[in-house]
Amino acid sequence: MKAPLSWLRDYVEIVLPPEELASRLALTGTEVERVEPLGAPGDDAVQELFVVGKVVEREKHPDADKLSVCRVDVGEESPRTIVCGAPNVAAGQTVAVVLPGAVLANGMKIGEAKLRGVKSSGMILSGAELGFEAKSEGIMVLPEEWKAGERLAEHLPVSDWLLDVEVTPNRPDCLSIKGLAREIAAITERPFVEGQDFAFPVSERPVEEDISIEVPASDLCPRYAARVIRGVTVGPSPTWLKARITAAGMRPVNNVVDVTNYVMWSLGQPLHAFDLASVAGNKIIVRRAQPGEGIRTLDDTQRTLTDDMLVIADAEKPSVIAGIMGSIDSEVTESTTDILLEAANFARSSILKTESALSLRSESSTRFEKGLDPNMIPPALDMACALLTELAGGEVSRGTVDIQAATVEPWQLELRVARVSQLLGIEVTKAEMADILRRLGCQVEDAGDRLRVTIPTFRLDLEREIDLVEEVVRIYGLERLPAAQPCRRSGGGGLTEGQRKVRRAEDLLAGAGLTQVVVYSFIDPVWLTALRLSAESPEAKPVVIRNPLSVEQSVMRTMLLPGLLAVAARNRAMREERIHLFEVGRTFHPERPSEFGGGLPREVNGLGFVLSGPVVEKHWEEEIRPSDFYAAKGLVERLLEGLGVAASFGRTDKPFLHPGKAAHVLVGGQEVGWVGEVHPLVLQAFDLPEGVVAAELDLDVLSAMGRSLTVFEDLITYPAVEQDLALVVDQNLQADRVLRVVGEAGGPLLREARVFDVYEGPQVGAGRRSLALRLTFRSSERTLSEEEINRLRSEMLPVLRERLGAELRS
Amino acid sequence: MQGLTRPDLKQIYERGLRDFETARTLAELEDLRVRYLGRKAELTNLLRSIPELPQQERPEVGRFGNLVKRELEQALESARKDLEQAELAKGLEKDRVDVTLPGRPWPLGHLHLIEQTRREIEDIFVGLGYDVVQGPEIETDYHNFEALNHPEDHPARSLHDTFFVDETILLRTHTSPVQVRVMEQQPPPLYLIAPGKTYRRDSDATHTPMFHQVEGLVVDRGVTLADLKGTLDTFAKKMFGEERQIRLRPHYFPFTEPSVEVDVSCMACNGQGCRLCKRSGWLEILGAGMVDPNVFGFVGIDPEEYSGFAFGMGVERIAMLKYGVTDLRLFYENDLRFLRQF
Repeated sequence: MKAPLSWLRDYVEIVLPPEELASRLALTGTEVERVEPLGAPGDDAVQELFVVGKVVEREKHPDADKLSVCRVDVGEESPRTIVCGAPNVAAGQTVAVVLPGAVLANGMKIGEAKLRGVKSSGMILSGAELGFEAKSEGIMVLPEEWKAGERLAEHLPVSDWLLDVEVTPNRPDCLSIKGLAREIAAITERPFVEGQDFAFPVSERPVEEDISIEVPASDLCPRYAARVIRGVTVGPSPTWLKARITAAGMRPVNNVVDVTNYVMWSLGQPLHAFDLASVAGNKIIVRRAQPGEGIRTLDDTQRTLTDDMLVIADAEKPSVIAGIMGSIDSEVTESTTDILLEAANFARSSILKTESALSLRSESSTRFEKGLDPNMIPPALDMACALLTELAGGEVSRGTVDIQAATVEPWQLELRVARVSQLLGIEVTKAEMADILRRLGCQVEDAGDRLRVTIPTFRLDLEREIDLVEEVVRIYGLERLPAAQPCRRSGGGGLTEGQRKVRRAEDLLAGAGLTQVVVYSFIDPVWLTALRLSAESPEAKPVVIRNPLSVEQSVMRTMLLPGLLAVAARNRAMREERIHLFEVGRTFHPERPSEFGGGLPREVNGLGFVLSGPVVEKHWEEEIRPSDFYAAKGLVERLLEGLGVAASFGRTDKPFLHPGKAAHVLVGGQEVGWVGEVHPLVLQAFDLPEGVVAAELDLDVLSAMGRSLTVFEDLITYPAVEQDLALVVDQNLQADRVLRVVGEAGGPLLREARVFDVYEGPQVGAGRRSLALRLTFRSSERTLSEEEINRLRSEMLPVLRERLGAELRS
Repeated sequence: MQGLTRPDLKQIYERGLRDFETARTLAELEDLRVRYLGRKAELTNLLRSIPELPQQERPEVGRFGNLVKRELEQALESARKDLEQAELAKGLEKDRVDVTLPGRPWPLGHLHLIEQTRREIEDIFVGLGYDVVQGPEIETDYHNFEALNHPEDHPARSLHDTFFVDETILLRTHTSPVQVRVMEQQPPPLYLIAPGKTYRRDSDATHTPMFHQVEGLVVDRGVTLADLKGTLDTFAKKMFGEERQIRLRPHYFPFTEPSVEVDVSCMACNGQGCRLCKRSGWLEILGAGMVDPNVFGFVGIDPEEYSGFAFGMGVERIAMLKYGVTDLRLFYENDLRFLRQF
C-alpha cells in the first residue's frame, strides 16, 4: 500500500522525518518496504522555486514553429520571459512555473537558458514533469483563483515522500490512508483528525425511482448500499487528484473512476461506479452466478462463472464479479451522464474462493478478502458523492438504497491487568495500557483489576483478550522487553538414538568420500517409467500432486534412485569424473498406511547413494579402481558395520538393476534395501554411461534395529589364531553357502570365516573355482594350541567335501 | 693396556685399534677382521701356540693375548656399527621423494550445507534442553491450517501457495503442524524443535518449491514473551556470533499472538548498514510468537494454566546469511562445485 506523506497529513500531523517514521511503523507492526522521495528532490528552499504563474502574453517564437514566447507573472515586479514548447499554452492561463536553480523529479536541472536566441528564465510545467502523471499532452492549467507568486506546494505536492507499506492480513483497516494515519497518530502520540463532513447537492428525485435493488444472496453480501448521481460530465480529473492517484501507484482514468479509486485509497472502502444507462431494467440483483454464466472483465478476459460465485447483475446479466472486477461493458465512459455508485460489504470467504478459482485479484478484492467494516459504507458514499458532484457536476438523487442483513456495533472486551504481565514477562501499568488502547481508537473503562474496552468496528481483528495484549505490547514497545529464558522444572532434551544413528550414517558416507545432495521430493513421473518399473509395482504408483508447478515436479518420489541419477547426470554434464553422491530423505508410499493415520501415505526415511567413476581420484601411484558392484557392496557393508547391523546379501531381481549384479540386503530376515549396478537401459534414459552402481536402504528400519550398546568382550587375554584354507568348489556355488557350511563345520571355536581370494583358471580346472578363506579361531577360556586348531581344521574337511563337494586346494 | 710388555702383542693391539677405526667400508673392515682375528691371524696363532711357549711367558701371553682379542673384537663391533649406520644414512640420503607432490587420495565427502546448518540449529537447541521431533511432510489440511487457527475463509491461507494431493491432504506449507501433532500426543512441559522439509507452490529467484524449516515450541507454566526473546537472543548469538543482537518487530501469524518477526544485527556490517541488510543494519531471520489460545483449544491444553511460545525459521535463509550464499537455487542444483566448498 503506497501512502504519500502529504495525503496522510489530511488526518494526522507528521513530525518525524520519513525514515524515522518508517522505522517507528516497522517496530510497531507495519512493515515499510520502501521510503522514497516523490516529486522534485530537495528541501523547503527548493520548493520555493515552484510557483503559480499567470500567462500575461503569448507570442509565437520568431525562429521556431513549435515554441511560444510567454510573459508570465510570477508575483515579481515585472513578468518573466519564458519559452514554452507545449501546444496548449495560452494567454490568461494560470500555470505552474519552476524558476532557475530547481531540479525536477526526472532529474532535469532548471537554469537560465537561451532557446533559439530567446532568453528563458524558468519553465512552465506539465503534470508529468511534476510526477503527477506518467505522460502529459501539454502543460498543466491550474484553477484561476490561485494567485501569481504563491508557492505551488500550497496547492500541490511538489515534493513529497512515499511510504510503501506491507499490511498484515489481520489489518485491512490499514489498507487506507485514513487507517494508516490513525496508526501513525497512535504510535507518534499525535491527535488523529477524523476528517470533514461531506456536503453535496441533492435533488428531489428519490433514488428508488432510479434503481431497484435486491440481495437474494445476503449470506455472501451482508450489506449493499447505492446512490445515484445524475447529470455528470465525465472528463479528466484535476491535477491534485491525478497527482494523488499517480502517487498511490494507480493510473488516472477519468474523474468518475478516479474518485472511486481515491475514496477506496482514502478510506479503505472499495466502490464501484456503473453507467446507469447500461443497467438493464434499472435493476440490480446481488446473486450467485448461474452455472456457465460468463462475463468479460475489465482486463478484457472472458471468464466463466460457477454457482458459488457472487455477481452483481442487472435484470439480464452479471455486470460485476462482486468485489473483484467489473465487466467491460458496464464501464463508465465519456458519454456516461448518470451513475450508480455501489458501496458494499462481501463475505471474505466467498471473495477468497472466487479469486482463487479465477486467479483474479484486484485492489478491491484484496481488501474484501480480509473482511471489511460495513460501517465504512455511509462515509465512503458521502465522500464519493461530494467529490463527484464537485468534479463532474450533477445532482445526487435523494436517499440511499441500503440493504443490510445484519448490523455491526462496537463490542466490549475485558482485559485483566495481571494477564498482560503474566504473558509478557514485564510489568505494564494499568494507566499505560488504557492510554495505548485509547490511542488506538478504543473506549476504555477502569473496572478494578481489569479494563473494560469498547472496540470500534473498524478493528474487526480485536475479538479476544489476547488481541488486546498484543495491541498493548506492540505499542508499548517490544524493545522494552527483557531477555529471559523459560525455567524448565522437569525432564530434559536431546537427540534420540535413532536421530544419532541417522547422523552417523551420513557421517560414515561423507567420511567414505560421498557428497550429500538434497533433491526435490516431487519428480517427473517419466522417471518411474525410466526405471522400468512394472505398472503394478507399488513404486510405480506415487502420490500425485493435484496442482503441480510442472509435470516434471508432479508426483512424490517412491524411491531416491531417480533423483540421484538425475543429479549424477547433471554433474557429469559439468565434466565431473568421480561422482559419488548420497541422499537421506523421505520417499512416499500411498499404498502403505502411515503411522500418523488420517489417510496419509507412509513416509519412509531412506538413504540412497550412487557411485560413478573411479573410487578415488587419479594419482600416479594408485591404480584406478572402478566403482563397481563390489565397491558399492563394500560401502553398504561398511555402513552397516558402522551402524552395528549384521546383514546378509542375496541375489535379487529389480527391473532397474543389472540382473547379474544386484543384491538385496537382509537384516534379521527382513529386506531393508538393495545394492547393485544400475541397468544399462535405465542409465541410457538418464544420460549416464554404463557402470553406475547404487544402493538404497530403509533408514527407519536400520536406525531402529542397529546395535545400541556394545558390551565389552575380552579379545586379548586369550588371543585369536588365524589359519588360511583354500577350497576348490563348483564355480556356481555361492560364497555365502560355502561360508555358512564352513561356519557350521568349524564349531563354536571358529569365530569368523572370510573370503580373501578367489581364483578361477587352469590350476583348479574348468567349472571350478578356488575360494581362499581366512579362519579365525578363538576360545574365551584358554589359549588355543596349534595342535588343537590343526585338529579342528582337519575335522572340517570331510564335512566340506560331503556337503559342498569341496577339495582342499593343493 | 696396563702391564703389557710383549712388543708383538702390543703392536697387534695398537695397530688393530687404529686400523679398525680408519676402515672406510664394511668390506675393508671384514679384511681387517680376517687379518687380526681370523683363523690365520698373528694373534690367533700366538694364542694357539701358548702351550709351546716357555713356562714363564705363558701366563702373560695367556692373560694379555685374550684381553687383546676381546678388546679388538669390541673395537671391530663398534666400527661395524658406525659403518653400518653411515651406510644406511647414505642409502636413505639417496632415497628421496618430492615431498611437495600430492599424497595418495583418501576420499573425503561433504555433508550438504542444509544438513550442516540444520545440525547446527539442532545442536544449539539440544544444548538448551530441547527434543528434536519429526512429522509427516504430506499433511492433513486440519493439522497444516485449521488447528493452527487458519479457518477455511482465513485470509492468511492465501499467503501459502499450497500443493494439494486431494481436498483434505496437502504438502505441508510449514513445519508448524508438528506443533499440533506433539501437543495432541504429549502433555506439557514441551520443549522441542521440529526440522524438516516444507513445500510451497512458488518458484523464482528467491523461492524454491521445496525448502527447509525448523519449528520450535515451548509449552510450560509461566512461559512469557520475554522468555521467547531471551531464547532467540541466545540462538542468534550461538549461530551468528556473540556480538549479535536481536530485535523483535510485531507481526501477524494466525497461530501465535502476540506475533513477532525477529531480526538479527547484520553480520556483514555489524549493524552499521550495508548492501546485505539494505542499509537497515538488521536482517530478518525468523517468525515467532506466543501460542494462540485458539491453538491450545484445538489440542485441549488450558491456556489459563499453560502458556507457550513457538518460532519458525528457514534453514536456507540461515545458511545463506551465515555462509554468504547469494542464490537460494544453488542448494537444489546439487552442483558438486558448490557442495564441495562446505
